[in-house]
Amino acid sequence: MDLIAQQLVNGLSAGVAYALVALGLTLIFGVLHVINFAHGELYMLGGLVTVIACNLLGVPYLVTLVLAPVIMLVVGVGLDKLAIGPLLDRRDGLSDVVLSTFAVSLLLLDLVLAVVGPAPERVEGLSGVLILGPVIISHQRLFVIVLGFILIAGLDAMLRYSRFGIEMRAAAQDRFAAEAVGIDVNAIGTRTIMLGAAIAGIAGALLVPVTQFTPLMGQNVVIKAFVVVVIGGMGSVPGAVLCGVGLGLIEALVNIRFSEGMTTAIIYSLLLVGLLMRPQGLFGRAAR
Amino acid sequence: MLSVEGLCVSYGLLRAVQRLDLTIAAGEVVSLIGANGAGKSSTLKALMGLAPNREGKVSIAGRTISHIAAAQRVRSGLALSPEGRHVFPDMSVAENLLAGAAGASRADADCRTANVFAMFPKLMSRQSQLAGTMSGGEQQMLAIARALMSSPRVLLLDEPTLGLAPIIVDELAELIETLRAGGLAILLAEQNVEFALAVSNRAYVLDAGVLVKSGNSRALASDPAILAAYLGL
Ligand SMILES: Nc1ncnc2c1ncn2[C@@H]1O[C@H](COP(=O)(O)OP(=O)(O)OP(=O)(O)O)[C@@H](O)[C@H]1O
Ligand SMILES: [Mg+2]
Repeated sequence: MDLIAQQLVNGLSAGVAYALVALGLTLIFGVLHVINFAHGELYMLGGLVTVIACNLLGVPYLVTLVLAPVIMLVVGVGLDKLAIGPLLDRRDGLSDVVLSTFAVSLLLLDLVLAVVGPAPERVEGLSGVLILGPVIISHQRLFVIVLGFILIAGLDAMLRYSRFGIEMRAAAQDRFAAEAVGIDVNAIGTRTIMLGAAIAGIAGALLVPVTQFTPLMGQNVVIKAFVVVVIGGMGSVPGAVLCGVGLGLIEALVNIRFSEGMTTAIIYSLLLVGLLMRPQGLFGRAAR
Repeated sequence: MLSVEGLCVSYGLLRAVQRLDLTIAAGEVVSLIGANGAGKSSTLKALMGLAPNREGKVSIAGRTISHIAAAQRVRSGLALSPEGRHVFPDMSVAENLLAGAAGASRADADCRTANVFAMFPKLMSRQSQLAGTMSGGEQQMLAIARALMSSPRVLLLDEPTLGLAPIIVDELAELIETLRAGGLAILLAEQNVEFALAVSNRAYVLDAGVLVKSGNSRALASDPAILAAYLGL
């Protein structure tokens, strides 16, 4: 019982990471109808910014939580201008983007591997632990969970109430009508990629003190995020959040009994079953 | 208010619109009629900058807009209520309207929403309903209201009567007259020839992308040769 409670807390923080990464993926898919295969590397770069800033430059950890998303906004613009935007208007643009973002993903991963090396790197986050009876929660893990949910709520409010959110949903629901009413759909696309990159960046910065930094951390998370997006429904925001957190929890519980490899096998079985039973995902259609 | 010279639209080898010239003055309703596939929707999309291959000169209030993107055309006073309504289905009525005020400040948008609600009281009572759950007639009204949210000088209406009950069609005729009397220039693309000729001052008849006749709507309505040859009436 104690073990289960402990694992649920651990699963929750992992789930927050999956949800945040999946949110960016699903928003980009909803607006641009492309799958950004480089999304995991954006998460990894968020972690890398934190490692460099904290460990090499002596920047306080909390400052890197602002630094990482801001830098990732710029990386997002670069990704759009180099690997997404120019390809979209082509005849086979959508499949070209799969290849181009995959290329960017490999490029970034190998670049970081070559420069930093494969060894994991520690970052000091918040210190201290919270003891709740038999369950021990590090302050950093608690911080990940709380800030993660605040970010998700903020993002949801932005999508619902802000002009950008409304224009983004309009572009996702009917691109032609959005253009006809004067929404600059290409600009909305760029800003969606920037937003997705910033969320991935802050997620990386949040999680790195918990998981440690490795160049492969993006790959590990993005594969789960793809599962989340497919099961939650491509383009669905509540789907990404609920399935992301759910996946973190399930994974942590299965981990009690089974090895890591077995856990992964179980998750992919879920993906296959989900795809066969509900190809449109649990939460159906476009971004809302 | 709107003037078009030598408009051409093509899709690959298909030439959907060929060298069309037309003008619309402020406070005038002009209809564009023709059989299925005559090129009416292609014309309207090209005017908005939304048809892929288009040529020709389009100007609004003396300003040439043929080289600018749809978003800028909307800002210079052109608005389209597209064929098939194209409301944003998973957004509320109020959100659909707000989306139609792209580029306006929030205060301006709220002010325009109030004006639109005064014109469409039914939309006001449904403002939090999801647009996709509304009836066809309600969606049509919303599509027109959304187009009006950009405060246009020229309104393009594509098949607004499609699928509407006769009583709603009458309401629509009244609405068009109100908008015209307020100084709007309206281009109405319609299959419903009787309706189009009844509400418009002038009309252009398209056949396979070519302008075959234009003139006073009343005169066209009483020209059986035209009606029979191009419109199958
Ligand atoms: N996206 C497209 N790709 C290829 N051909 C197209 C496309 N859109 C329209 N066409 C063709 O262009 C021609 C004109 O079509 P358009 O939609 O402008 O006609 P319309 O007068 O609006 O017809 P309707 O009354 O049925 O709405 C048709 O032959 C149509 O098949
Ligand atoms: Mg048409």
